[in-house]
Amino acid sequence: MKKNTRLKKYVELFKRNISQYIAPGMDIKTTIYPVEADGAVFEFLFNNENDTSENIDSLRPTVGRVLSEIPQRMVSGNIEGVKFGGTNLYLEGNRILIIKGEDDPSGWSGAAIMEDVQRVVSTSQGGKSNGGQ
Amino acid sequence: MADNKIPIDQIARLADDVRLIKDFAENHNFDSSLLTANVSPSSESESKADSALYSMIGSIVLLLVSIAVIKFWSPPLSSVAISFIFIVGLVFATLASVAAHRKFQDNIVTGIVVIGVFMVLFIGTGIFTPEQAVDKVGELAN
Repeated sequence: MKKNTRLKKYVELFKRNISQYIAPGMDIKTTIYPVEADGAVFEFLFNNENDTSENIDSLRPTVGRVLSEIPQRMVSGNIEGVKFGGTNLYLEGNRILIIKGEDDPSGWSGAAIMEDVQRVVSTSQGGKSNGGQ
Repeated sequence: MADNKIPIDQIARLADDVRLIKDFAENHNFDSSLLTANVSPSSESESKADSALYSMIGSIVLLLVSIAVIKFWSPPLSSVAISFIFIVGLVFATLASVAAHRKFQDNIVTGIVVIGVFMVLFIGTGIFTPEQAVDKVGELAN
């Protein structure tokens, strides 16, 4: 996904929907990782320093390349050979990674974003899950 | 022995499955205090969502009332009064569109509502005939 408008819209709606669940005094710093292929990666960093900045990182060829270059412990090894589908979530410390595997509009709609938020909130209280298989 | 062999295409499919990560979620020591434990949206957020729906319905009803006043008020209103009520109708059509966007947060749904309410207003007040309205919607769709 390379469309900045769609990527920013996702962030706007995600933050709007998750705001009702966030602990008081917390803000979210956002980094968007666009990719040339399908999908994109979003990083939401919770902080109490009033940092609500939103940055778009450099364009990378695939989601796998992004994950190989940012800190994460979800996938290791030859990540670039891995395909991503649907919406994958990785929560760690004060950080949420949303890994979108496809550009299909149904995965980027307002309803889909609300569902992503619900999954993030429920995952934040639990452990690993795999809803797609 | 030969019966135990797996066809190559099955192995290839299996390998593809293994390499695909779909709708996976992992919590790796996320600080759960950052998000409220109650998974259901708060009652405040529900009332917000409902208020958008009620605003949309209310605006559409008031839009229809505006059209009815222009069309059926007896004795017929002056052109100044009709212009004023038409502007009021435009305001309600706009409010209905905004409320629809707040409610559904989807540009396609909002677009459909915008076209719908404004066409109702234009047809209702006689600016467009139904045929012209259909043509206009067709032009917009193209």
